[in-house]
This record gives sequence, structure tokens and C-alpha cells, in this order.
Amino acid sequence: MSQRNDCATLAPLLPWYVAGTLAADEAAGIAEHLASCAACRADLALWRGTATTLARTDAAIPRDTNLESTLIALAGRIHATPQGASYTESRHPMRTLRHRSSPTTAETAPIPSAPSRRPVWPALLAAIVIVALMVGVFAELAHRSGTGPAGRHQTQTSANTQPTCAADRVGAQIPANADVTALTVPAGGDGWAIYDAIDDQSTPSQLLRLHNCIWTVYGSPYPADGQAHPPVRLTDIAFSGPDDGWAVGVNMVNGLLAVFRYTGGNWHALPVQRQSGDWGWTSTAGPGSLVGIREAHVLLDAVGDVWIAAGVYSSEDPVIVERYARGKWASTFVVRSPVPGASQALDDASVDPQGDLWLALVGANQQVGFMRYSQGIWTMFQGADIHENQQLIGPAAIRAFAPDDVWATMNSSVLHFTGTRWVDTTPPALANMPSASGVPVSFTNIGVVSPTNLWFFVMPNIHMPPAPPQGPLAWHHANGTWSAETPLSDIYGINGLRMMNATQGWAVGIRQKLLSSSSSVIYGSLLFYDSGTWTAVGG
Amino acid sequence: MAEDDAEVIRRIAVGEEEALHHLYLTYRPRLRRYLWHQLDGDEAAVEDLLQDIFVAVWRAAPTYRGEARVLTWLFQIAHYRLVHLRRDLARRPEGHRWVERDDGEDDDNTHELIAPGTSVEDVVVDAMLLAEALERLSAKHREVLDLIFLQGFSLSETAAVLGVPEGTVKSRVSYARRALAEALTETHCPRKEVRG
Repeated sequence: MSQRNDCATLAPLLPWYVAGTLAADEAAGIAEHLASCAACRADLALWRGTATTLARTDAAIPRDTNLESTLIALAGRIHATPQGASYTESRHPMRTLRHRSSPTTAETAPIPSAPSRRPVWPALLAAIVIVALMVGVFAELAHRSGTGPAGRHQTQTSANTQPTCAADRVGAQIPANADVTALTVPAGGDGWAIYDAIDDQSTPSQLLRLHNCIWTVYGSPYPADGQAHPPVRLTDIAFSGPDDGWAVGVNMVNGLLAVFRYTGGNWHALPVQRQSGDWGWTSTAGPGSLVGIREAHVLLDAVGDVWIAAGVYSSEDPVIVERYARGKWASTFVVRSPVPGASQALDDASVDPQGDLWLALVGANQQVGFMRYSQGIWTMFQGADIHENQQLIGPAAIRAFAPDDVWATMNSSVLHFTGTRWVDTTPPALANMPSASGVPVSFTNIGVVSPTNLWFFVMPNIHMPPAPPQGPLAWHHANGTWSAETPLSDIYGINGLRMMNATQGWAVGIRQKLLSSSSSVIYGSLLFYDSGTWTAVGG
Repeated sequence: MAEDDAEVIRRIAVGEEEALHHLYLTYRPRLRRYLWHQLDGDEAAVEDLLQDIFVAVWRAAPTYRGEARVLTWLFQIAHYRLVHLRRDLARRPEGHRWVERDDGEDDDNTHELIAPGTSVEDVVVDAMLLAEALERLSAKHREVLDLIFLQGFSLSETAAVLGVPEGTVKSRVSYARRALAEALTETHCPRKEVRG
């Protein structure tokens, strides 16, 4: 073996040589090679220095003074935590949704996988358990089969009809430290957006309002009644029309779901009757705690139902789905892995006009699965159901237009569901992008102009020190043709494009603000979209 | 020792709280040090994650099949929790400090030989500069080095903890080496130019 080949083989093992964790024969081979290789000796010096430096930082960790108190806390938690897969049933003696033909069974039923394809993916999402806390399946099916007030909601995929805004008339009078996180622009009414304060997690979310093409501060969704209200971090907002809006988020005090409704020209808090125990975790959250709702999505279907899907941060990370129909909370589903301690995150959710709900889930180790709830039946798509060969890892996003027209992404792949199978529709040019640009592409969300005019946005590519984005920020799919685009040089990512009419819309542009030479924050700003052209508005 | 650990897990699996306490006392110090580095010394977050890890062990013990060392298994759980936390921080731009710099470099074959003329043989390993360079590494690259040097995991164990192929671990090590070497060679440059 040549010296060069020796280096290629042995140099990557030097850290373990320094750490003393190589097998004896490997260590001997490296020692022999080092005697004749100056470059590897230089590497050796670097790794020894690294080991010493790391050991020094390790020694600087403060002494552990919490052992006793944390042991007591742990004992308390395990007393409340039965072992094994019976946890779900023991905590929730409720009915488990099995199938619409037998909705009252008490058994835990595996979710049917897509037929005819063998899941290659035995891991966490292979048999996710759905617990329906308050099912009402028969009533729901009757409602959804046409007896309900059909067509009440405008959906996220419908064309809007707001008048156009001239590009020189759009504007924003908003605080300089506004961090915009989500927005919506309903047909025939004002637009609404959520913002937080940059680099201040303790400040409750506030609302912005879009009127006559100008964004201004609306303020808190709570009424100005002089009473103290718990602070809420809002995460999503949706309107079905000018006077029917929903905003959802997390109560920053107890980690529970917070829901606000806009009707009659005012926002008001809508109590959610469920407690955290119903959803499968113990509410111990305080400000800064890691336990509680992670992020909630609100989705409106054309049937008139409101769907709220939320990821939860707890010891097992369930995903909860709440449905509000005909003026009341109608059903709750808790989606969890049957593997104790395993977890999944909700990356995205979508509902098509007919009311089929889709969830994009990412399990431990970033494995992706898509779940559909349709006519009372949950179906899981995973492994070979989704793709024969691709690595199924997140992040994932999904947009449903019809039962046979669903778009999704997982990491750097784009997929289209035709009603029976998932088809890989990744833009051919993407195959060469990561190596060509040095930037791996990872899709995070899908912007919708129309079902044939889609934007697939890429994870923000933030660097320290700040530098212009590397590689495209978006892949545009219009009438079957792909193009890679970087809309603006100082925008690092785009989220949540919502159209106000056939050609114009608004989105959240991710920017970077430097705090010091080694740290920065990213925050959301307003972007105006007009027939493929993007303009930054406001700060 | 490994056999003892496996026996402890078996006892936890049948509901012996005392065994969990034993495991906690044994491994809390190591896991605490690991999390401390990964979470930049955020003590509250470290304690939250420690609790979550051992609650997860309590729940998952009946499924432990002994395929990995108990230590590796514990760190796998810890790493998953960290991944979730980082993903939250990265996905929610609500004022969290963006400390995760995604440097890419997860290809399996990015280990580079030292280019001719740029040998770092004569580089004096300046501990201060090295410490600064380590701080500037992205979380995932720093995590690999912590697992190797501070936790003493082998290549295969490091890969198992992170849930990635061994080649990816080597790629991350290679990237870290290049970043550290570059930081050290920057000693020849005026500091202002280096920092920009």
C-alpha cells in the first residue's frame, strides 16, 4: 500500500488512536505508519491538543449539586410512568380507534399500512398507535358524507380573490424587533400574521393585520378587559373568510394547547377542555421547560371542520389531533409510537378540501412516515410504501389538494401521491446540486400558488459569519417544469407562502441578525410575492 | 461490568426502582458532562434531559435486547433527545440563538489528504486558539469529538450513538480536523482579518 493510501485509510482513525480506543492491531499499524509520515504526525499533534483542550473544558464543568433532588424528582416521575406498551391503555382507559366498522372496540389496533407493499422499515413508525379519546365516528362520518354544512371553509389550497396590491403600495409599520412566524390572507378580508420578539422567548406572541396592502400591529389576541391572561406563544393562524379565523399555540405557563377564534370582529380565547394527561403527558411545564406543546398547526377544510395538529415535547413525544366541528370539540386523537420511550415529531400537516387529513411525521433518527385520516380510517405510509430505495429521513412537509393529488417532501426528495402510490418527482437537476454547490438541500415546506404552481422551500442555510445564501433557496415547479431559484440575497429561507389572489401572496422570509462574532439569531420578516417576484417588506 | 449493567436493565425491566436508581447514580455524571457540553452549560436544560433519559430507560427497559452496550444505549437515547431539541431550536426562529451552524460535510468520503504545501506539521498547537476553534465548530461536529475524546467511544459505538454510518462519523471527524487546522494556521494572519 502506498504512503498516500495508508494516509487515506489510517488518518481518519487517529482520533481513536489518541483516545486509546482502537484495537491493538489497528493501533500498531498506525504507530508504524506514523514513524514515516510527517503529515499524519502533524494530525496526531492536532488531535492530542484537541484531547487535552477538551479535557480542560470537561474539568471546568461545575460540581454536580443536584444529585439528591433530581433523584427524588426521578422517583416521582417513574411512579407516574408505568412500564412497557400498556402505558397507553393504562393512562387512557378510552376506546382506541380501530376501524369504522367497529369503532367501540377496546383493543389497540395497528394502523393499516398501504396495501400490497411490504414495509422495509421495522422501526418506530411501523405500528404507530392512534388513541381516539372521544371518537364519535358515526356522527363524524355522517357529517363528512354530506349532511354537514359543506363548503363553509375556504381551504389552504383554494384560489383567493383579494384585490391586487401595486408593488409600490405594499408596506409594513411593525416593530423593528418583530420576528414573524406565520401568516394568512383570507379571501375578501384582512390578512393576519403572528410575530414574536427577536431573541426574547418570554414575550407573548402578538398579531399583525394586513389592510389595504399595509401591515400594522393589532396586538394581543386577548381582549383588553384589564384582566391578567396567561402568555401564549402562537404558532399558526388560518382564516376561512373575513370573519372566521383561528390562531393556535402553546400556553407558556403550563405547556398546554392555546386556541383563539376570531369572529364578530374580535378575537377571543376558546377553551380546550382536554388536559395534558388526556394527551399523554404530565404538565410540569414552566417558562423554558421542555415539556408541552411543541408547535400546533391549524387547518380548515371545506366541510367546515377545524383541525388542530400539534407535536408534543414529553418523554415520548406523541402527536395530538383535535377536531372542532359544528361548534364543539368533536374528537381527539393521540398518535404515538408503541415502542416505549420512542418518539416522533410532527413536521407538517395538511387537509384537502374534502377533509382528508395528512400528517408528516418524523420518528427518532429522523425516519419519515405519512399518515392519512380519511372517512374514519387512519392509513400509514412508510418505508417501501413511500419509496423503494431512498433513505427516508426528515425533515418532511406535505400539501394535499385532493385524495389523488398530494405533494410531499422528505429531506431532499419531492414526492407526489396519486391516490394509490407515491411517485418520486425530485427535480432531476437536484441530483447534482449537493456536490456541485457544497450545500445539501433539505426541503422544509411547500408554498402553494395553485396545484400546478408550487414552491418547495429549502432549510435556511445560515453561516457564521453571515454570508449570502449558498445554493438555491427554493425549487419552483410550474406546470411540470422545475427551476432552482434564490429569490433574494439577504433571505436565507422562506416559509408559509399564502396567496391573496391568483398572482399575489405573502410569505415569511428568514433573515439572520448578528449578536456577536460567534452567535446570531434568525428571525422571520415579511415577503411579498407577485407573479414569481419576491420583495422584502418592513424590517 | 457490561454484564452487570445488562443485569441492572433486566431488574429495571421487572419494575425494580432500586435498579434504576443504581443506574442513575452510575451514569448520571457521564451523561451530565456530555449534555453540559452539548447544551452550552444550560443547567436547567441538562437536568430536564437527564430526567427524560432515565424515564425513557424505565419505560424501554423491557425492550432492551442487549444488542448494544448499556452505555451506548444510554447515549443513543441522550443523542435522540438532543436531536429533537436542536431541531426545535432550528425550526422555530423565535429568538433562539442559532448556535447550530450546519456545515454540511456528511458525505462518506470527504476525508482529504493534507494538500502539498499546506502541511500543518509545523503548527504549534495553541491551546487558546484550539479552544476557540472548538467553540466555533457546529454542534454535530463538536458532539463527535466529545464522544470520541471525552466519552471514549470507539468508531462503531460513536456511529451507533449518532445513528449514522461509520463513514459519516469519519466525515465529521475529517471536517472538524480541517476546521481546527485552518484555525491554527490562521495564527499567521492578523486577528482582525481572521475575524472579519
